[in-house]
Amino acid sequence: MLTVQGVTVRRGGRALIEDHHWTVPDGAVTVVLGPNGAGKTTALKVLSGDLRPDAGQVWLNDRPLPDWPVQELACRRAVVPQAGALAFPFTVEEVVTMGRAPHRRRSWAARDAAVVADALSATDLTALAQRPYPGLSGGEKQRVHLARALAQLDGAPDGQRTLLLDEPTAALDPAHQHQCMRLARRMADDGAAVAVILHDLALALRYADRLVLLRQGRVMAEGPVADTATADILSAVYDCPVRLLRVPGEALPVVVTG
Amino acid sequence: MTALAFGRRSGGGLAALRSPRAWVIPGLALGVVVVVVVAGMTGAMAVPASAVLHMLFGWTGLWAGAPLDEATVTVLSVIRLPRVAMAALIGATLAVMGAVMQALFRNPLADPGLIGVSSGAAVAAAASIVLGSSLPLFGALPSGMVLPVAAFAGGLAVTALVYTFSVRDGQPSLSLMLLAGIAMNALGGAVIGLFVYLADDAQMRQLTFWTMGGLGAMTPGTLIPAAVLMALALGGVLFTARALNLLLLGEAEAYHLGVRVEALKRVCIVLVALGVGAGVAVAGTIAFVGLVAPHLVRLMAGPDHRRVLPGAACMGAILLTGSDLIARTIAVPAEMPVGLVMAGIGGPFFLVMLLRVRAAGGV
Repeated sequence: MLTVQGVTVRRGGRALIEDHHWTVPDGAVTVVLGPNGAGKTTALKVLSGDLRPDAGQVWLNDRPLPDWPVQELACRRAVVPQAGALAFPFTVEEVVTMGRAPHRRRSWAARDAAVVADALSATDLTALAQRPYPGLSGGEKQRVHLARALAQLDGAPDGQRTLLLDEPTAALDPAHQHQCMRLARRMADDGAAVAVILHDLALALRYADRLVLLRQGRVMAEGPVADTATADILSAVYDCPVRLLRVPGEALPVVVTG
Repeated sequence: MTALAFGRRSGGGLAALRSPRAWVIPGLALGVVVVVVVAGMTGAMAVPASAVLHMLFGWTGLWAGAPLDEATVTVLSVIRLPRVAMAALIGATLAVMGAVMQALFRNPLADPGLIGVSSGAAVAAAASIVLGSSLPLFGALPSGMVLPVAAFAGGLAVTALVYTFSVRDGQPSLSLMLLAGIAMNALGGAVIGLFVYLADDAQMRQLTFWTMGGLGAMTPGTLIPAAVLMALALGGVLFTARALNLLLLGEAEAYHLGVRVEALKRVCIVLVALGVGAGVAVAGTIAFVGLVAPHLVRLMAGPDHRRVLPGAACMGAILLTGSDLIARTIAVPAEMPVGLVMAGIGGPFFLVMLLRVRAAGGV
């Protein structure tokens, strides 16, 4: 579980995020929503430890993030980046195997190979395993990093797995968007704490347990989807009329914006 | 090629050996031995291969041959093998440090000169050639040591300056370092130009030859310290191979995978500056090997640094030892600058490799 406690990040005299208090509980998918510039990526960078907050603290389980040794942190927290900048011709399989790096003292080659094979098949990449990464499409690259994160969290201590995803569906077609979110969902069902930045409200409503709604660096609302995903709150967050229409026979409302 | 290629304890040894990539490092290591032996045989006094092998391996007991006559021993141990060994070590260092810089900057075009070590060394070398021992502090050194010591100090000083410029929020930023390095290289070029303007004809000639590299002017007093520095830097940098692989994903991604990125960057910069600084100090600037040797190895063995670093060491040793062999034999009794030979042969060779890769659809 990640706990954000009074976190503020300032850059050049401006607060990117201000006085954030929220949690990413175990066993749930927490979706971070908000318009451009609301501070979603900054918040995720604070969660992952990339950014030290200027005030406040992030806790992973019982310890503040800076107190975790980098290696120990890497064994239980994986991050799926927006885009990978790898320009060297590693194969897809080699990139996914890099996810096993934090475990190399506790794991062994045959186990790593099995974990990697599972991650590749879970992300539909088995057929591309020997392809060089730089030649893949944007969506395929995104899936490679998802597979790498899955491989990284295999073998993490029970109840301590944390998966952070920064707009993982941005470059994906609808089928792979759902596949990606189903994988996040399954990780949460297995007990992991999952935080996802999304722009797609329909995906958020379908897969989120909890929402964190950001606007201009501040938390507008936080809590279970049922309490936070209302037309009023969403309209205020996005500064744009949002309607949630009930359709007979559909469990989820249809999102209409504008 | 297989899932095992990345595992530390690559199980299924037989499967791994069937991959052609597994043979690249042993093949290159054998190539180093062959080039070193040929270079040891060749020169004003021809020496049979058996004598060179006896000198190289006799003490290990692996090679038992007839005792050598005194002249052969003197030629090999005093003149030829120290030079061959230095060529191999400098080539290995420049090539490995090139590979490290390319990984650090995640750019296949990076070379050790980017952090200013070569241009700093060149400026200091130019100053010591033109101003001579009128420079403060250096008057006390034996005359053969002034240039190498000045070059080494200049290389480290400019690298430290570039590093200082690149620190933002207490952490070195690689993009700032790249830009500061470019600025320093431009400034260094201007200062060298100024020294060329001030130099007399003999000094200008010495300066020009230094910038083209050469292994003929090494003095015994500088050989050992330079060799020790290069060996230490090489040995240290080999331990970073796995972390460099992860760094290629990006700095944030490497950190997420447990790499202490800031420490890694600092260690690499220090080792590159020490190794390249020592090499440049005794042999002048030798371009090309740091850029091309890692590429050749990547084309053969793939991008994994656990193969690229040792492979580049062998490749660099082969390229520089071979180039030096040609440089000192092609125009006897004169000696060509080794940098010219390296670029003249290596350039076309690299182009041919590129054509083959292009035909195969790679890169």
